[in-house]
Order: sequence, then C-alpha cells, then structure tokens
Amino acid sequence: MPDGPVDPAPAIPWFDYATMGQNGSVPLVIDNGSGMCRAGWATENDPRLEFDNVVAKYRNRKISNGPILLVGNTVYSDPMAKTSIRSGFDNSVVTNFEVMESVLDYVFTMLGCSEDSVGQPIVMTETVCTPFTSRRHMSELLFECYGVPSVTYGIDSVWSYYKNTGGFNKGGLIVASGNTASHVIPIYDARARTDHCKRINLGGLSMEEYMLKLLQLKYPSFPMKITEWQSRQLVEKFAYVAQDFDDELAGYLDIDNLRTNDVVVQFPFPMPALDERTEEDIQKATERRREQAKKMQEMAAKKRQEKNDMRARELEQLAALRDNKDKMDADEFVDRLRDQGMATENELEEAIAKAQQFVARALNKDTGAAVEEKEPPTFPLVDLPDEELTEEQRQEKRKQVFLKASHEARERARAEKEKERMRFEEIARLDDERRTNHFDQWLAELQGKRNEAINRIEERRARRRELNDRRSHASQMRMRNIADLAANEPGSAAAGGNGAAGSKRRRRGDQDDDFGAEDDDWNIYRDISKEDEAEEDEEDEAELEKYNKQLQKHAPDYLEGLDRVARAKIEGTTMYRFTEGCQPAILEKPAAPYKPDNATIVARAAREYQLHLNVERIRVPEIIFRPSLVGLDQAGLLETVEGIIKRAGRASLVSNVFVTGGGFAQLPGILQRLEWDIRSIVPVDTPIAVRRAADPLRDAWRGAALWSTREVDEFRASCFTKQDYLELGGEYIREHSASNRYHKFSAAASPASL
Amino acid sequence: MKRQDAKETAEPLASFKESGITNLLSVSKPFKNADYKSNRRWKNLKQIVVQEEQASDWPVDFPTHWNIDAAPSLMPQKKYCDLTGLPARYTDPKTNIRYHSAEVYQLIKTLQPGSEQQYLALRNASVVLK
Repeated sequence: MPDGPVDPAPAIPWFDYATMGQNGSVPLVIDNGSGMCRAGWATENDPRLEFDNVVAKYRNRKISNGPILLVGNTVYSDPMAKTSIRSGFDNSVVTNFEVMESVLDYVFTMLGCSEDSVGQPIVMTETVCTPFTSRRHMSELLFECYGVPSVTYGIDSVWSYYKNTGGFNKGGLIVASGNTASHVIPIYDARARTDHCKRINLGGLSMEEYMLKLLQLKYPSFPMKITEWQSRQLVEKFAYVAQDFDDELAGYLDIDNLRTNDVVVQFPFPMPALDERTEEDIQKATERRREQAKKMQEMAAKKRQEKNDMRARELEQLAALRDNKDKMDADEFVDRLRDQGMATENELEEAIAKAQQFVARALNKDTGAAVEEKEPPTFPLVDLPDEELTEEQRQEKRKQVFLKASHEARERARAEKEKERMRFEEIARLDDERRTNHFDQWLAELQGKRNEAINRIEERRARRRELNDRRSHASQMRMRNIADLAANEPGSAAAGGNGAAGSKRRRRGDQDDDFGAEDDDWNIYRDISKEDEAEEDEEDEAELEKYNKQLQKHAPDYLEGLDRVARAKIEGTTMYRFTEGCQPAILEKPAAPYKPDNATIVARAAREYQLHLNVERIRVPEIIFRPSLVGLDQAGLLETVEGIIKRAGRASLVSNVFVTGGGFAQLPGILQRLEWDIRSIVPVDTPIAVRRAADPLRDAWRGAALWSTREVDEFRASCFTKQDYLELGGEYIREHSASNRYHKFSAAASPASL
Repeated sequence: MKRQDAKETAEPLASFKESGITNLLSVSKPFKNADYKSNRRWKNLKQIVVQEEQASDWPVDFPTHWNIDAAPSLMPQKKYCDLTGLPARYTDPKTNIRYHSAEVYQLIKTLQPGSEQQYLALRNASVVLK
C-alpha cells in the first residue's frame, strides 16, 4: 500500500482561452468544494481541471532559493511540501482567502487567461448557508483582484440535482455528503428550500479520521505508521452501509460470516532471513563435519601414540639402568641416578612401576581391553598396637590410617552412587514396564503430572497478578500476615487452620505459641515474600519439558491434540477474530515441537504487517445514521430526513430522494439502507425512490455548467455584477432556484458594520 | 487600474514544464490586479459565526449557517463496545468503557492506565483536562 496520494501526470494547459472567452459569453464554472475543486467552461461536458483543493507554500533549497507555491495535486510532487499543505476551508466554508487566491490563480493560469483581467462571468458553488462574511470576501477577491464581470453563486448539490432531474419542477429531497458535512435539502416550489434544510457535521473526513483512530487502537504496536490517505483508501474500498446494522453486527464475527467479512490489508514487510539450503546441502554439510571430526580424532591418536612411544623409551632406559646396576660401581650408579633426577634406588623403582603402569594402560586403551581390577589396597599396620612398632613403622601406620579412611569413604560414595543409579534404573524399568503393560494408565498418570505442573505455574502467575492489585484478596491477606508477624503475635499469622487456635492461646495469655513446631509454619515467610518464585517456576518448567519429551516420544498425538485444542480455543475468542480474522492461531509455547518451513516463516513475518478490517467496515459508515457513535450530539440521517418531511409537511418528497457528493454518498448500500429506513417513517404505500447521481462527484460542476447555458434567462438575472458589488455590498446574492438566500440587514445590525 | 507589465506575459506557462515541480510564484499572472493586497488576518469559522450571530435582526425562519445544524437526537442511543464495536451490554464502572463480553473485559483489565481515555475519546467521552 503506498503512503499517500501520487502526483498525477502534470496537467497540460490549454491555450484556447481566446476562443472560449469571446464576448465574455462562455461562463467559467468553478465547483469550489472543501475536498476537491473543479473548474472549466460551461459549454463543455467535463471540467478541465480537477484537483485537491489545497496549496503548499514552502522552501526547498534544492529546487529554488525563493519560496515555492504549489496548488492542487502538484503539492504531492515534492515530499518536502508535505508538512506545509493547507486548505482555505474551515469545515465547508472558505475562511482563508489568501489560500483561495492561490487556488484561483492556479485555475485562471491553467485555463489560459492571458488578458489583463478575467473576462468571463463566473459561476461558483458555495456551501449551504454560507456565512455572509465568507461570501463578501469571495466577491471582493473576484471583483477587485481578478476584475471578473459577474459572479453567480449556487449550491453544489442542488446543481447536481438539476443535472440528474433535468429541472426543479419535480420535488425531491437531496442528501448531499461532502468532506466535512452532510446536508439534507428539500426541493419544492421549483427551488431549493434552504429554509428547511439541515446539516449533520459528518463527512468523508470524519470517516477517514474515525477509521484511523480505530485501527491505531486495534493495533497499538503496528510496526508502520498508517497515514490519513491510507485510511481514506480503506474507507473507500472496503466500507459499506449495513442494511440492518444491529442485525448484521450481532453476527459479524461469527466464523461463517467472518470468512466473507474479514478483509486483510497487507503492508510491505521486511523479508525474514531464511535457511535456503536444500536437503542435499544439509547432508553434505553433515558429511563434511563428520570427516573433519574423524581427521581430528586421527591426529589426537597419533599424538597419543608419540607420547606412549616416548614413555616406552623412558621405561627402557630406566630398566636398563636398573639391570646394569651390578655392572657399575656405586658412585657411578648414583651419578646416573642423579642424571635422571632421582636420589635413591627406591625412587627409581617407583618411577619404573609408574612408567610400566602408564604403558600398560595406553596399550589397553589401544587394544580396547578392560583395565584389570586393582587389588584392594591392604593396610597391615593399622590393626597393630603402637607398642609393637618401631618409630618408622608408627609413622607408616599413621599414613595408613589416613589412607584407609579416605579409601573407605571413596568406597562408600561409590556404593551410594551405584545404589542411586540402580534406583533410577529401577524406576525407569518400572516406568517402562508400566508403559508396556498398562499404557493407558501410564499415559493418564503422565498427563496428570503434566497438568499439575502447568497448574502450579498458572497459580503462581495468577497470584503475581493478584498481588499487583493492592485491593485484591491475595494482597490483603499478605498485608494481614505481615502485620501479624510484625505485632509478634504469630497465632493468626500461621495461616489458615492455626488461626483459631492461636487466638484461643492469646486469650489465655499463653506465651509460647510453638511457632515452628511444624515445618509448614515457616511457609508464612514464603507467602509474604513477593520474590523467589522464579526458581520454582524454572523447576516446574523443566519438569514440564521432561513430561513433554516423554509424551512426544511415546504418545505424539496427545501433544499435537493439546496444541490443536489450544489453537481452537484462541481462534474461537472474539478478540482474536476481531484482530486476526480467521487465520490459524500461532501458539506462544506449543507443546509439540514444531519447526516451521520457509513458506510459514514468510507468512508469519507478513502477518506482523497485516491489518484486519471487519467490524470497522460497517462501524465507520454507521456514524451518519448514529452520530452518537462518535459522540456527536446530533440527529442521524434518518431522523433528520423525518424532521424535514414533517416540518415541510410533504411526505411525498421521498418519492425522489437524491444522493450526491463524496463521503457517505459513495458508499455501497447507502441507497438500500435509506429506502429501507425511510419506509419506516412514512405512511404505508407512499412511493419511495432513492437514487444516486450518475456521477456523484462531478455532477455538481456539470449541473452548474448545464444550468448556466440552458436556463439562460435565469442565469442572466442572477448574475451579480461589478455594479451590484459596488452598490449592494459583497455579501449580496441574486437569488435563483439553486442559490442560498439573502437577507438585507438594517444598517445598524449589519454584520459588516461590526 | 494598473496592470502588470505586459512583458511578463510572454510564455505564461513555460515554467510549468520545468522539472516536475511547478512553482506558481514563478508564473506571471497578467489577469491579476497588481494593486490588490489582502493582508488581513482571516477569522476562523467559529469567530465568523459568533460575529454574525450577534446581528440581532435575523428573521425567525431565515436559514443561517448555525441554525441549520441538525438538532440533538431524540432517539434512544444504543450502546456499542468501545473496543470491538459489537453491541455492548455492560459498562465497566472503573473506566466507563462499554464492552461486549467478559472476554473483552479481560482485555480492559490489562489496559495501561490512561489508555482507556483513548477509547472514550472515540465517542467524545474522555475526560479533557484544561
């Protein structure tokens, strides 16, 4: 979806002003609406210019040093102009004539005015009951700045009626909707009866704003900014008027209706990083890894081999030294020992034994043979009394006592470990046995345990939530416990059942309350603490994980079933359907492990950037029938129509209800709704016809053009000339069948004099 | 009346063809009265209406910009859920938000304090501090 309107191809100016302007006979028609402005020659079928009625005055050093003035759709051609876009309108009335001047400059320039004044009579639309001040300024601008010969003001929607009905002889009721306001104007006595007309202050802009606000609240963390223009596009494309609002609304989110009601709007989203490897690639990568591992192992083995060889050589040397002892004299032997870093023969023996052991172990490892059981060490001296021993032996005995104790401790630990392992094995075996023999029972038990873990987690979560609220029961209980503990009267503090007993003791004045006699008493401190639940949560999560793994292994359907149920539960909720439509739900923590494929990953990323329009589609347009929806204290469209019919005393007007303009008039279903609703307020058998203008947007301009060329007499009579302007004042209007009305103030009360 | 210099009128629309940007200020406008200046402050609609309303001799039945406003509705106002737009049977006494069902209420409870005002603002019922 683009961010905003796009500048259309640059308008091509026409240079036929001279032919059109001959004798000043061809009127120049300007439909000056608060949303769009259309201008062109009265003798043609379509307006030459059609543009958003806005200007932008700003600076952009890249283009020009001076200020830049853009008018109409050209304001969208430069992003820099975006923040300076302004309209000359306040609601549906022109109030800023500096902006208006720029717009008229643009119109006359584009229509090719090259003389020293605008020589054509102007036909211009204005809103119903334009304040006189506004019209006075408009006349001033036209006569004094542009020097026009005359101007005729009329109401846009009434001219649209003229175009579609062919005249004003047939009575009717105009329902005209603009950008900021909607009017209901009765036509009878061959003219627009503005004295009976009504205005509801809602228009296309109101829908756009309402839609935008609703979407912003519906998706508070939407990653993109939704622009006003986008909001307008959504209204224009997807909103429609419900035939029977309450009836349709009640079942709007029902799953059967939702499939047709829900509209998904996709915004551009960043592509997630994907694992693009094929099955083959993955296999190759594993192969490569395996080979590498093998190479490493080989290298390690080689290194080990080298080390072994070195040790073996060492051993050989030492053995040779021992064997050659007899062949050497004592001094030489000691020298040789010293070379090896040893002092006595004993040390040599020890070193040889160690080296032998090492070589043997290495050999065993290589050949894969089991290490032979070591002889349990003996401690012969421990049991002999000290008196029988020499000093040296006593020393040796102390050493043996210590060694024996540590050996026994090691043995005990090993036995313990073994026992534990056996126990676990036994449990696992029993578990296996139960699973194979009583599968259903086993499964039920596991499920039960799993549910318990979940419940514990949930309970803690609920408690945390409750404690956040100061006025909740949990919070108040906690505060009471703290107060009791602080008052050093733990009777009632030792929660629950002990409370009554405690109070009894207190009455007797018993000092010792035997707090702590039971382990549960200490739980009170856990109860009043707000923290250290994270640990328990972790434990339970781990347990849950374990159960999930077991279930996944032996009863995979069960977890998937749970996920299915969980998803269905989410998908069934109103809020989910409201914000996510009828897509499958994504679980935050699915019980069954799930690895999404690439298509799913992309779809999920796309979902982050999706809007779902459902209730809004009828909720937004409904504001014209129930302005209270947006807090506007005005009667809705039907009530307004009813009031006008009653006041004018002409129910027959409903035989020709004419819908025109932008805003609500464009919505699908508005005609049927109006007809249906009007039927409820007029006598039975009253003929009702509701129709829309052939072109609700352009027919105001076309009607004005047609009227000024066809009703020549009326047009001439209603031309407000420069002479009139000077004599009668700028707010004066020569009334005609499509015009507003004029009232001459007494000189004292004239607003012009204020 | 003085007119703008005729020389400026040569090729009045040439600059519209430069680049994509069409600066209206750089276009000569021979049809304008060069002496006309409107350096006034423009009143907004509300100020205009107040000013005109004070003129006391409007005829009773004369349609004016302010008296053609549709009157307040006399029909009973149906209530709709502020969050979902569905028919609302309940109102939360704490926030004044109207809601459709218990499920929506669960969501209301999780709303950040102050954000309920945004929902109320939808129907112009928010508390506005001035």
